[in-house]
Amino acid sequence: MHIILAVAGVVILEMIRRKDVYVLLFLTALITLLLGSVNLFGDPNIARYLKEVCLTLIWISSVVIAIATAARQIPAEKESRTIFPLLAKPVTRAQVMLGKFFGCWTACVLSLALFYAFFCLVSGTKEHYWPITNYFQAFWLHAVFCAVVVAMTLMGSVLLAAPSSTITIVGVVVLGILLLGRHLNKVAAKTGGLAGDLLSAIYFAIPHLEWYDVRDLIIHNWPAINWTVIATDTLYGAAFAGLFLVAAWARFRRMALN
Amino acid sequence: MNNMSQSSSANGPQPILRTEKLRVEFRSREIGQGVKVALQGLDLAVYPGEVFGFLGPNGAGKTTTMNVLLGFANATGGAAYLFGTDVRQPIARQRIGYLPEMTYYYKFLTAEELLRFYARIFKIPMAERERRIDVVLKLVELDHARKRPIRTYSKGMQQRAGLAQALINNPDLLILDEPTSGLDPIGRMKVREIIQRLKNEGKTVFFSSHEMGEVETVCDRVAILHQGELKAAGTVASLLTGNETNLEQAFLRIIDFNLNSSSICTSSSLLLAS
Amino acid sequence: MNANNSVLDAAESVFGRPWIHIVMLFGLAFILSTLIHPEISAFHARRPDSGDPLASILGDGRKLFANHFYVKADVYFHSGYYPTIFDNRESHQTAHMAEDAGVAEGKNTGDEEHFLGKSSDWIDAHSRKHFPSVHTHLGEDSPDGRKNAEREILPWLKFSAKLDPNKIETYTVAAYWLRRTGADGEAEAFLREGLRANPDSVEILFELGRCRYDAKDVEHARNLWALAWRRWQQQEVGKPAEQQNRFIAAAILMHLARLEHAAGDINQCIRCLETLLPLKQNPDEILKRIADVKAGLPLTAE
Ligand SMILES: Nc1ncnc2c1ncn2[C@@H]1O[C@H](COP(=O)(O)OP(=O)(O)O)[C@@H](O)[C@H]1O
Ligand SMILES: [Mg+2]
Repeated sequence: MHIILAVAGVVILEMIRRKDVYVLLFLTALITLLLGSVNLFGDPNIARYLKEVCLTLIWISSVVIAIATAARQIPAEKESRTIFPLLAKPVTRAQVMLGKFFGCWTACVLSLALFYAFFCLVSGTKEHYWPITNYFQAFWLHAVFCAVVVAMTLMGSVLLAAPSSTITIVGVVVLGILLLGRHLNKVAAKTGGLAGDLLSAIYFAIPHLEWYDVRDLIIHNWPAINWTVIATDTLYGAAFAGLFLVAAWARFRRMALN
Repeated sequence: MNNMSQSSSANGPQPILRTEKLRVEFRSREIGQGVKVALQGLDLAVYPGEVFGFLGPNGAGKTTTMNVLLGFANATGGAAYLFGTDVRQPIARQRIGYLPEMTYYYKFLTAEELLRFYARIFKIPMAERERRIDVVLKLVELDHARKRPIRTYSKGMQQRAGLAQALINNPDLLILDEPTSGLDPIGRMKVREIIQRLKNEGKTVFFSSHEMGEVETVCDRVAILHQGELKAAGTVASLLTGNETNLEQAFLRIIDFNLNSSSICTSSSLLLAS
Repeated sequence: MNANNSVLDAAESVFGRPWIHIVMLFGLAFILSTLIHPEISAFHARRPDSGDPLASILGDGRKLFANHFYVKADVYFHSGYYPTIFDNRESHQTAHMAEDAGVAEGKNTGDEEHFLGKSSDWIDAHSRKHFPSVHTHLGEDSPDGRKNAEREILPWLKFSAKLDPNKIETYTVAAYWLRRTGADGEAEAFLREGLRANPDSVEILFELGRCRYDAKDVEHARNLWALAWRRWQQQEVGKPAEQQNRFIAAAILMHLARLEHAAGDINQCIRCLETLLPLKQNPDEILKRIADVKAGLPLTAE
């Protein structure tokens, strides 16, 4: 465990020292505040559009952070050759993989916490309404989403040749699932035939990341989600993250280092 | 160190690093290329307390040997042991320090943080850890730059930071892959000094090099590798014959380097002939 | 040479960053995601053709986004429970916010409560716990029951109008909901903004008349409605019957009739109702009203 924590610590330090997260947070804040200052028929309490814009920017940033951080971890270790002194210590490759996973995930969750704090501030000052439970649920589901994406990216980074291809492919997959994930069954039913069966199979095989995006419930102040749903989502996400990590490890274990 | 020969007797000291008929082949990706033999039946033994120079031209198989010792590559045949434990077990690496070739350590960390990271891997307790970091940084003369990010270091400083990480767990055996390559004369001298200091502390050092001059001054014993084969081993003095005055001359003789029969000339004469 | 290199370096330093790829990907995805929401009457080419192909491509892009925002306002009106292009959209062909505002004729059929249908499997069933799946309208029965919650649709209408100033419903719908929530002045100001961009718009003139009438400014209201009616005649009389926008014509004449009735000018009122007669599918209703008015009874609302 101490090894996993040590490896994770370096990832987190790296993220804190790189400017990417700050740039994204700054952009999110800037765009949100600019749009928040638009005069809308003299009513300063109109808030939902702003919540939507802010949450959308947060989602974009989180995917960017998760994929960009995770994609370069292992390739960078190989490229700078730090993987050698690391593995020359009594460290297994499984520990390296898990350390990278927890590091990237913690980094994502930390930056998410920053982003959501900003969101609470924006929505609270506009609406004078603080549904903290709902916000926490959205934050937690978002964090589970990041765990799956990080694990998927780590898997991509040991299967694919270059970080840029990992980023592109995982990015397309994640976006595809977010946009189409919950509609694939309908498309499959309409298509029919072999293609329909194929779509249906994809529908059942993919991790349904779109569940974790509960922006609409938050934007429109719907009641909190049942906690059993949250628990199910957490287990489902953990199962997929675990699956991806095992696959990543299986590949990484046999990977030639030079 | 009076183990001049490699034949270790049952009642003499046990070797700390040992390979037996180590063979490594690389299967070429290209079709029809066959296999490339990087090591062919290498027998080595390094005893506690000695500084062992592992010499050979580029491509001789030095890094490959170290990769096997550290578990990065698998041997095709033979076996390798560290402290009597098969190298395929991670625990064999508990008491070693390793300096790889040309490594660019995490640029965004300071030397202090880098060492703290590696120390945590060995689960060194907090107080001990900080003390150890101090000692190591003083040893490699990076104490003044410990709070600077590694990205601001010169090449020589980076190499010494690498030495520091290899020393963080106070290892009994150091495996250094070309510790002086790419450094300027001052940098090389400093590394040599550090090796000397480690020897004085009683550490065993196994290092590779293709620079003969520096090897002579610090090594107790050397081995000369050429095209994956061990050509000679022993003290520097034992390798010199006739009127040879330095290791370089002996080295060139041992690897059969002859201006008239060198491969470059052969191939160029072939070219001329065709 | 040098300048060229530095430009390349700058491009490299921006595009070499991995997250830029994702940002670009998201930009693309955002455009794609806008296509998933249904596009209601996307291309009513009201704007005269400028002849410049680039401008018209950009123009169409703007209109696409304007329409997306207009639909988004209706999505907000339903607190997020809204069909996508993959769902059955029969019940949402006309924006409900426009239908409720009386500025568009509802053509919706089908089940607006359960357009998603039965869930097909456990993934689908579980998925529905993560997005709104109850039919509500802002204001009356919105999930949090906030005061003036209807105004939450307004930002999107405002953005839509910025992108496509010639989309009339944007102004009329916004004006209706502004007036509903007590912002009469803002409603009128927004309509005037719309009138500047569309000086001949019957709908905007009509809505402006409603604003004036509510403000007890009968004189102005009558003038505006009369002007609206003249414009309607100019624009629509030549068209075949099924292409005429009779919905708005009926609304104008009905309002005028009521105004005259309240002002005590019974003859003028009857004249309006009689003009209305040929425009109605079932004239009996109007005939009954004419009879009522003649008998001195009050003019019933529709
Ligand atoms: N991964 C590999 N695949 C194929 N050949 C390799 C690989 N690694 C090393 N070799 C070959 O093995 C030989 C020994 O290399 P190496 O051990 O790196 O030499 P050096 O003594 O310079 O450290 C070289 O000829 C090299 O080309
Ligand atoms: Mg080498």
